[in-house]
Amino acid sequence: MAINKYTRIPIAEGIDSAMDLPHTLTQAILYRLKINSLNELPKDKKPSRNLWDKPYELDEYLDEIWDTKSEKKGKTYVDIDLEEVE
Amino acid sequence: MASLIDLLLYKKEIEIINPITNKPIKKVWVRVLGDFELNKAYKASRVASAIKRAALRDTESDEYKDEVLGVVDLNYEEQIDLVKTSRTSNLITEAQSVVVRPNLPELPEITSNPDAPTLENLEELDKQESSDEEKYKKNIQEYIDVKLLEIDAELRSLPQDKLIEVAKYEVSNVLPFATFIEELNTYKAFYGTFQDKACKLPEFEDINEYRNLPKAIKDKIIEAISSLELSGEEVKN
Repeated sequence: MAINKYTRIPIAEGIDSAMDLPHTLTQAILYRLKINSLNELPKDKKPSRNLWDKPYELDEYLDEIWDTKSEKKGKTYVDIDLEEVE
Repeated sequence: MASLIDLLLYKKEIEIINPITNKPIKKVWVRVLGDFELNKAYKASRVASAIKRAALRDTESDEYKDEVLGVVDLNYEEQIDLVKTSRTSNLITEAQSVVVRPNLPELPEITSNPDAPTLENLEELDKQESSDEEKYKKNIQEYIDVKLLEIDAELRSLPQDKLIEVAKYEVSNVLPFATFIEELNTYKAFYGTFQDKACKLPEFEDINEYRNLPKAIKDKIIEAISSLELSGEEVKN
């Protein structure tokens, strides 16, 4: 059984399932997982830290950067100056 | 800032003392609730605060006559302070949403060789992070201060009868919040108090058993649970 070195309290005692986890611990784990998954995004698509704990703004941001349906982002665009083409 | 130790210390033993004789009655264990029970506690507390809010806004109710009408007897400055105090807690949440939190500093900003940072680079990174955090807290406080000044000016421009109406409305907002917190603490204590160290044998059979305890005992249990619990902001930091 795992024992917390500082508090001498067995950390697993009484915790038989995820439901028994203190909500503070669950929240910290979920928050860390969320940040890890955001950090996996390419650098130019990573949301700023300001959005990490604003779920609705974060959703909007992610919808926007992955929006391939709109006309603007769905088309391939190549920047060529036609006057330079012979 | 919360540490891992704070997170892992989620239960403790407390001694219940008879408030009249001052002698120990028994020892119980309290723990931080899990998500499932916390959500049940929140839901029950919202029901209680909704009932209180409806009663305070019903001009025929005893609650309105007893708790809201008292605003009329306050003097001008007290009425203004009441509104400002009531709006402050919302302003804190609003500030956290509006004020931009800077991104964490990264090693490439500090050194040209981020894959092999020196100890000094890492110290610089820590310094930058804590300075950004301080700046963020300062900006939040400034946002709240400016908003409070705006509210103050807005309230002073109102005629007296309008100010009383605003103050009455704020009372009908603040008191349900107090009811919500009280009910939430009641449920946390009910679900979070146990006879055993493993926290498997509940101390109370039903919530009224807890409600009927002397206030000093209830306060002791709630204080113990609060000391174990971290706020959302602390958990994220």
